Amino acid sequence: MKIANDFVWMFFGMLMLFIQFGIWQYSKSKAKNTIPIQLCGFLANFLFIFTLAWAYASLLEHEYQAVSMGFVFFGGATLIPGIITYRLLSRSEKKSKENSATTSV
Amino acid sequence: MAHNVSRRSFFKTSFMGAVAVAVASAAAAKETFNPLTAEAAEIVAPIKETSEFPYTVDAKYQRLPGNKLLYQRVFDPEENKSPLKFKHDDVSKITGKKDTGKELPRINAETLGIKGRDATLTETGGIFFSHHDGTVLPLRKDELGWRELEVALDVAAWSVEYKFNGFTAPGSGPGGVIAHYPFNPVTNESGTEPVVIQGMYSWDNSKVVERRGQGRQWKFDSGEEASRIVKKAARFLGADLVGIAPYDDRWTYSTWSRPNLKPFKLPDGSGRTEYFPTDPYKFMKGEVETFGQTVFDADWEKYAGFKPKSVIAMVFEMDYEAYRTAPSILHSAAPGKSYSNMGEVAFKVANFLREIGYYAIPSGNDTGMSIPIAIQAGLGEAGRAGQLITQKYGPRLRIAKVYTDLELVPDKPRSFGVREFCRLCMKCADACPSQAISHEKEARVLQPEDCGPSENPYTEKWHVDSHRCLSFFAYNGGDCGNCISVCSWNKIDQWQHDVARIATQIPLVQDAARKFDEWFGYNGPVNPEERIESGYVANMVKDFWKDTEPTK
Repeated sequence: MKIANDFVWMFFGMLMLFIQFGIWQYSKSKAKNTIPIQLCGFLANFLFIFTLAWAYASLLEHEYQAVSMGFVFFGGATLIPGIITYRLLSRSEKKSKENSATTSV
Repeated sequence: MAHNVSRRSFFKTSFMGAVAVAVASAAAAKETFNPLTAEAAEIVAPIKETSEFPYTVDAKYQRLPGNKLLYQRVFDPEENKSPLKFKHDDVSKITGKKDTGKELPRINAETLGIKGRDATLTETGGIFFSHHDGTVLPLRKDELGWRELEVALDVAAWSVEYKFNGFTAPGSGPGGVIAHYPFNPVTNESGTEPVVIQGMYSWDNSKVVERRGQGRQWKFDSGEEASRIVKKAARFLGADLVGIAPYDDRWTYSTWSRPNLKPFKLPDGSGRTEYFPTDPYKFMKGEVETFGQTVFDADWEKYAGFKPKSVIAMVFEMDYEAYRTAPSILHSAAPGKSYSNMGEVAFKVANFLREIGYYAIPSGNDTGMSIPIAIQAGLGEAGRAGQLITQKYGPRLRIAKVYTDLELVPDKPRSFGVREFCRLCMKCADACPSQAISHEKEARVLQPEDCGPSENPYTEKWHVDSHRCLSFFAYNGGDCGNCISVCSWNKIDQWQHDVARIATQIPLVQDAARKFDEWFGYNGPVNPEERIESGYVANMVKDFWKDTEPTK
C-alpha cells in the first residue's frame, strides 16, 4: 500500500515534468517559445497536477466530495491559464499582426 | 578517445537525467510536501504567544464545586425531584430555526414509561449510563452505527476506563476507584465479593517517601531541563501532545465528589456482588434511584500529601474515522479508547515522577478543569463548544493531567486564530442535535443568569447548555460527538489542510472558510437530521468496518 502510494506521487512528478517538456517542445515547434507562454503554461500545468494531487490525497482521506470538488474548483482554475496558453500558441502570425496594428492605431 | 556526441543524443541523455532527478525527487515529495506546507502555514498564519491566561476571568469568579459537575449531579437525589430545565426553553426564538432539542426531556421520560412530564436529571443520566455501559441497547439498535456490534466496540473501548482507571470521566474524584474480585492464585478461583481499590489515577505517593528516604531525589540542572525531560518522558510514555502549566488554584474544583455505590447481587446465577451507583433492579422497572454523593474538601495536603507547583497537561488524539460516524454509538468508541489510554499514560507519567522522588497525582476529568489547564500549557485555544482546539487535532482529543511538586518552566498560552474563526463559523452550534451550543457571535464573560448549575460563570466563553447536551446523549443511546466531528479544525495531518489554513489568511476567504469546508464535504452534513437521513453516517460506518488501515 505504501509503495503504491509513493509511486502515485512519483507519477505526479513525472507527469508534471513531461507536460512542461511538451509545452516547451510545442511552443518551439510553433516558433513561439516566449517567457509569457512558458509561465502561463507552467501555471496551467502546476494547477493541473495540484488538482490531481488534491484528489488523490482526498481519496486517501476517504473524503469523496473533496475529490470531486477539487476537480471542480482547482480543475476549473486550471482551465483559465490552460486556455490562455493554448490560444497564445495557436494564434496565427497574421492575426497577431492585425491585432497589433489595430491596437497601435 | 574522443566521441562525437550528437545534439540529439546529448539531448536524450540530458532528458533521461532530468527524468531520473524528477522521479527521485517526486518519490520524496510525499515526505517533504507535508512539512513544507506546514511550515509555510506557520509563516503565513503565525502562532502568537501570550504571557497571561488569554480569556477574561472576572474578579467574581469562583471555583466550581466538583459535586456540581453535570454527571455528578445525576447522583444527587435532589435532582430526581423535579424535571430538568433548559437555560432557554425554546432556542428557535434566538436562532430562528426549529428547536430540535425541546422535546428531548419528554421523550426520555417516555422511554422510562413516564407519561405527562419531562425526565429529571437523574432519570436522564440513568438512561444515558445504562446505554453507556452496554446494559440497555439504544432506541436505534437496528440502524448501522447503533447496532449491538457497534455497542460492543464502544463498551470494549471504554472498558479500561471503567474497569481499571476508575471511571473518572464523569469527574469523580479524588482519583478513581475500581471494584475487582479477589483471586486465589493457588486454586485459580475468584471470589464473589469485590474489593474496592484505587484505579490508574491512584493518589498513592508512598514511593516518593521511599525514594526521598533513600536520598534518591533526582536533581535537575535547571527548570528548563526538568521541563524538557518530563515532556520527553510523557511523549515517550504515550501522550500525543504535552504542555506544562503553572499550578493555578482557580482551575481546581472547590470540592471533590464521588457517587455513592451500593452492592447488588447479580441475577446471572454467579453469586457475584457488584457495586452500582443506581439500583439496577428498580431501573429495569423504569425507576431511577441513586444513593447520593460523597463530597470531599479539595485539600491537597490532606489527600495528596503536597501542594502542586506544576501541572503536566497531556493531549490524546481520538480516532478520526470513528468520529466521522458521529452521532452514532460507534463514534463513542473513540473517546472510550482515549479515556482508557489516558489513565494508563497518566499513571506511567506519575510513576516516572514518583521514581525520581517527586510527588505526582495523575488525573483524568477529576480534581480540576482540564481545558483551562491545557490552554495555560499552550496546547490550544477554547472553541465555541467549550472544548480545547489544538492545531494538530482540532477538538478531536481528550486531556489528562499530572499534578506535581516538581518546579517546571511553564509553557505560554498560544493563539492561532481559533477564537476569531469560531465567531464566524458556528458549525458546531448548527450541528448540535439538542441546540445546546450558543449561536451568539462573540464570546463574553458569562453571568450567573446565563448559566445552568453545572456551568461556571464569570469567564469569557460561549454558553453551552449541559442539560440539553445530556438529554440528547440519553435519547441517542450514548455520546453524540457531532460538534467535534463537524468542526472545521477537525482534520488529519495532510498537506491540503495546511494549504487551506494558508488560504484562510485572506480576509474574504476567512469569512467563507466554513462554506468551503461544507462544499468540500469534510466531515459530512452539518444539519444533524440530514447527517443521518442522507445516509452519510451509515456510509461512514460501512467505511469504518471495511478498511482495516486507519486513516491518518
